[in-house]
Amino acid sequence: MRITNNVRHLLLFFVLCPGFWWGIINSTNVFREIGKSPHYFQGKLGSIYSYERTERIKATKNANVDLGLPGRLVGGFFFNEFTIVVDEFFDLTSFLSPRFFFQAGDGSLMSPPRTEPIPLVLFPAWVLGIITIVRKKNFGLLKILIILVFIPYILGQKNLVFLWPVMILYIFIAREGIMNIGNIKTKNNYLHLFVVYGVFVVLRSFYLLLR
Amino acid sequence: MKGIRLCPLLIVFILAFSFRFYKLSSYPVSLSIDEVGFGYNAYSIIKTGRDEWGMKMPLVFRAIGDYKPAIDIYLTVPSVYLFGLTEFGVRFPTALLGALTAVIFVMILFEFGLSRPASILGGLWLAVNPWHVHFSRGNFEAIIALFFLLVGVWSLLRWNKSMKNRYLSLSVMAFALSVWSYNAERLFSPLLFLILSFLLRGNLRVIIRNPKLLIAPLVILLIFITPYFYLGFFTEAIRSRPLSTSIFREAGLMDSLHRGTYVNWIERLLDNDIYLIFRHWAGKYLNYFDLRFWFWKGMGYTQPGDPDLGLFYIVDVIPILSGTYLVFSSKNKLFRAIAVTWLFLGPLPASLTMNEQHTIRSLTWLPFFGFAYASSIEFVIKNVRRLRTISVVYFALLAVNIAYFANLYFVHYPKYYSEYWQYGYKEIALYACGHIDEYNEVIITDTFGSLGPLNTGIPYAYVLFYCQYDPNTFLANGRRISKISFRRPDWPNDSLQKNRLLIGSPWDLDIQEIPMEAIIRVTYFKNKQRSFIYADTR
Repeated sequence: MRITNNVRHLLLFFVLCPGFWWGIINSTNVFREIGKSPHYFQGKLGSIYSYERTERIKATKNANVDLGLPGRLVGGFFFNEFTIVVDEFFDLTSFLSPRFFFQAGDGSLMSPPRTEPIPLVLFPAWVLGIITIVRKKNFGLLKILIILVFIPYILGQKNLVFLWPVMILYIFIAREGIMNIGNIKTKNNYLHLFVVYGVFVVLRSFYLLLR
Repeated sequence: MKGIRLCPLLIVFILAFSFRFYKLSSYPVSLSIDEVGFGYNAYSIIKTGRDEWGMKMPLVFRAIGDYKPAIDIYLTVPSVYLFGLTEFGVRFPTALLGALTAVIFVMILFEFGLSRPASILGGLWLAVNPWHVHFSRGNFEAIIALFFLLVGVWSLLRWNKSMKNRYLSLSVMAFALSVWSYNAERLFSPLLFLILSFLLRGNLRVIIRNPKLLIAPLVILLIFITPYFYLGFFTEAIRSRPLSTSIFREAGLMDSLHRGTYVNWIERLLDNDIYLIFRHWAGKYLNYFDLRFWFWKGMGYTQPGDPDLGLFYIVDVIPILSGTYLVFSSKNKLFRAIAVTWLFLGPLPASLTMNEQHTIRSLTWLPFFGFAYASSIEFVIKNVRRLRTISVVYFALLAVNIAYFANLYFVHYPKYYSEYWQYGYKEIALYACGHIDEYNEVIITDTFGSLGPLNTGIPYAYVLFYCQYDPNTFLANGRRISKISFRRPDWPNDSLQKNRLLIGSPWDLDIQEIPMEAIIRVTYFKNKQRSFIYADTR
């Protein structure tokens, strides 16, 4: 009974997130996009150490040329291919961006039109959820998150097709955040707010789709 | 627990001071429009007791129409008096208060109950933080406002512990001064004060039961708030700048609004303007929660796509992220409540303005990251073995990060962005004033840039500043500078009149059109692109 209630509760969270519906509505397009994965993967690999990128690093390094030998040494030390690794790391983190999930979407057909994939009111809950997961040492969940976000990163596709699983996990995390609010009254109020707002954004997204 | 000794505070101050004062006159490479405005208005106050518009000891300075808060300019008055109308004179107050901010931060952390080592390291972190150092080195009101804000927070925490009324009065005054110092604090400081008051409501009840204790803080509040409300309601001084930068100036938002004209009730319900504005604002707000902005691209020292620097050093990724978790998990309820509030409230003022990820408007957010960092240090000191090894590795990497920051700040940033600091106008002003007697008229362009006439400057302010133009004469001449005009010169027409000096950008004066003997000088930006051409018609 407890498990059933939890599943029902989780389903409610999914149902009240427009992004959840868009993955189902656009399932044909999803499979089509997944079919293009090898092509995307090749493109991403080619862009990592591209000519343009390495030329930019050289140009940055050359900015130190006027300082003579010490400048060139400093430039060579700081501005080299390692900066590409750093840049790629932060590119990876950008796939976790809360703005994408809680406000913007990807702006394509795969994303609810002019509506956030996950209701914005869940953002504070998501933050609390991350804290809760770490506190409970539920690192398995975080490992799954890293794996799930690595896939769209390595394909270079920041859209809801490849980030849909991450979105599902974000919803789960936000739910964890709300459920672990200690004060019952606050928790219930937050849930009520989420339900009202969630109904609004889901209806809105379908309205804009049909308009 | 006894207080922090003077020696560590002095070390924090000296480190912060050295980061902010090293070559302060030369970097940034030029005074900005705001800085010359601050400096000249301070000079005008010294000479005449009035600002550049003739207003006697104004509470808000009209300047270039953006109505600058007064505190910064009045703080610049003694500095200009002592050091002259120079780069150092203008930048000194901000650099000094920026250095003192690191000291206040140590005291705040200690008041929160963090250990001495964690508090001191938190102060050292702020002392070398690139975000804070960068803005401390120019005359930015946000630095002064943040200083007063933190003094206000510290005094309130002190009052909470000691119940000595002078701290409450000091807190009210400091919060009020922060509001008078910068636009972001006009929203942030009152909100934070209200939240802090709520969190400390237990002690507030003691005061309410003894109303005499409220007299001094209330009088101070009235002194600061009354003119503020007057200016806000009866002049455009307070609202002018927020209105000109608010998200309601963005075409992307305004074009999407219905403004009351809905097709049907469903559209009014599901596509209403309130939601559209809320969503637009949310995008700006959430855009600040970006690891790349925090640790890799925030400072914008290089060109897009190039290696850059974030608001914090890369070596602080783990301390700050783990510290954020520790803040949320802290058993210190007051610290947790204030820090979490700061996390969510910090980007609020900046998110209400047009620009994305604005580093100066979001400076109110900085203390949260310091709290996170200090919490992380506290944890490491108490729980981690091999502290010495970790310390050595951390500080070695930090030194490398600081060297990287220095290279970007002193080499790359001036090279790529000198024109955005109006580089070249100092030379123009000095040349124009130095040779004014040789010409009937000097024409100085107000539009420039290495990629095109994309930047608009306010060259008259540079002439006033560097020529130390007499404020009385300036006002008596109807805010004109004798024999100097500020417009884009046009060689074919302007060269018809003899004895004119034309100073224009390459977009104004085509060097192919002008006879070689007429070209007196050509100057360059730090990126080696031509900046200005001096040509005379003699």
